[in-house]
Amino acid sequence: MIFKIAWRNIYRNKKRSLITITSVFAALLLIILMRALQFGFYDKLIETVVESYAGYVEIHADGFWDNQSLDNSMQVDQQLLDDIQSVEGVENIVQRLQTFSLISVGEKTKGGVINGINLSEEQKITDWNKKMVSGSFDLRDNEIIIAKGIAEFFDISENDTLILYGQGYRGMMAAGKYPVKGVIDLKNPDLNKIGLFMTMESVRNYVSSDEISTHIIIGKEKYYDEGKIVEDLGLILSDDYEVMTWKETLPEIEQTITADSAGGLIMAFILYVIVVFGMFGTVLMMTEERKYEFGVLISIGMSRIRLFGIILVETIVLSMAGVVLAVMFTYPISIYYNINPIDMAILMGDGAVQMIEEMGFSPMIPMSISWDIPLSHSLVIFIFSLLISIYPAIKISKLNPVKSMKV
Amino acid sequence: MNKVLLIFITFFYFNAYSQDATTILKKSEEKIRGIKSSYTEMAITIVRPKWKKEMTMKGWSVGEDYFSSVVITPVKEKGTVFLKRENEVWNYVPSIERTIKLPPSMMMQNWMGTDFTNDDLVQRSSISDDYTNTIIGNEEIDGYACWKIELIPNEDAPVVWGKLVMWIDKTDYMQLKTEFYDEYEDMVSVMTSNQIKDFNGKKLPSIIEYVPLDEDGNKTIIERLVWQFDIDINQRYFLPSYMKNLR
Repeated sequence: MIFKIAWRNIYRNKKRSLITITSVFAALLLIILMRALQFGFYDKLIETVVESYAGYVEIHADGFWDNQSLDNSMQVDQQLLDDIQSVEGVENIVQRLQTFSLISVGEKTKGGVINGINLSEEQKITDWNKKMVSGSFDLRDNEIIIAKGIAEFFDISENDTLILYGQGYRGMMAAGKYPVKGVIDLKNPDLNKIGLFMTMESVRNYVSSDEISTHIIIGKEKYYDEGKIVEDLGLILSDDYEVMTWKETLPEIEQTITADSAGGLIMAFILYVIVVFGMFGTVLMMTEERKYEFGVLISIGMSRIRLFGIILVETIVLSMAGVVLAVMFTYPISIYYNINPIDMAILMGDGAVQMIEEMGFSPMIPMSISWDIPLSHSLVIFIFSLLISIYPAIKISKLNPVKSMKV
Repeated sequence: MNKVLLIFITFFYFNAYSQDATTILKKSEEKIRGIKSSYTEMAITIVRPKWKKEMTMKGWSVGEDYFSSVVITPVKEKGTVFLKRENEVWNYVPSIERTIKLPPSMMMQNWMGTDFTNDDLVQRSSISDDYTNTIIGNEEIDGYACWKIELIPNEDAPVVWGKLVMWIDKTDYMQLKTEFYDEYEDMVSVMTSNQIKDFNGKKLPSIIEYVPLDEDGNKTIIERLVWQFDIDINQRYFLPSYMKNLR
């Protein structure tokens, strides 16, 4: 009965209903598309940065992160690897041995970080083999791949020899000469200045230890929550290990996202203000317009609560119609641009694209297709429409039928 | 008048005493280094809470200014040479066939992973010129009667310590114990000597233990296996260009 009357009221004043629905629809459309693009960019950012170096989840010996010395390294056995692999969401595992070292060529010297890697395993997590500028990624023992910035600093390339000099494991000295196998562009200005890659065996030999590793890097299944993996790992690993996500190892990425997302939320808030006042205006007008009608209804014996019910249903139906339309409209768009990422070159011009590419991102930004975005924003609109209907509720409760019918 | 005399006497008294302390220190230093030169073979053990590393070395020295050492074991580090020439430290690393003069930035780093710094190796300070020394007591250590001597660096002395306290035994001038203090008068490390042996007629402690107090469970133990004094040493041993030939 309430729904029937509500529907008739909506249908009766088609123009007014259309305006309300359109204002909700338009604002929500903008909000959802904007957030989808933003979140798509964040996903891309995380993916690029995390998958280019760190991995979503890292395991070290306890205390390694605060004091990144080889003396805080660990010995990884098959049992440990099997245990980690058995955790849900873990797709790939790879070990690394990382150590600081001085690099020297001729008279010049600079600092660097040597990464001992397992070639075949590493390719399941990172895409370094695709980032070679010259030479090949196919490292043999006692060969070294250097990052672009190091090659430029020393002005060296393939087949030149460089000298590494540093601290080894447990008080041993570490020193060696290594021929350059290739140059890699890590697509990250900082990493490009310090990155060195050798086989695991070569680095172990360099630091004088047969079995140590410093990192276990975990590649997760797509869209699996890394927080859950960390939790599950915490249950099976002893206190000798520390488990960290990219949020801890690369806090700057999270901070960037948080800061940028706050900007997006402010935009969303402005749009909300517009749509909420639009809706409020409609409701306000409707209440004033229909005072006479309300007066009649109350005087012929309709309860005020029922009357309010009708108004509430009307507001909800109108806003939800806008919401549903907006979601129905934006979702295909999001999916389309998720599959066919937006080329930022068109939006931002070539200069910006070059900058993005130097940072290691492809300028193709996909939209996020996460349901979180439309659902959360629809919920906000729904709550606002409930709040708005407080106004007619107050009016109705105070309505004096006699006065309201005196026009 | 009496007062003036008293001050005068006290001054002379202390002065005489402090002269004495410096002489004692000089004698004990000379005993370790030899009047002219010394040659030693030593085993160094680095002790850490979770591990231990042992190495053996040979070392040659002439006076205070020249010292050269070569690693014999572990095999991987064999042939690594450290050379001290006046206030420079040179390092030769066989695996990269390079001779490196340590830059000032590396002077405070550990010497070969021990608790000593490269700077300790150089020790530009001279006990007689850079410190004001006073005997502050007589104590017994391991049954040896010792002078307890306080060394306070002079203001412009190139010394990192705030104060040193040394125990030197009265018969053989052996440095049995040294405490190192920082500028806030807190003790930062202790060096103790024991297992006194006869090295070519000289009585000297064969084991030195150096314990930094700020790092729990860390220490470095030096054991002298051979110690000879005032032998002829080829001057080439102290040339950077000769380092790769030392063994």
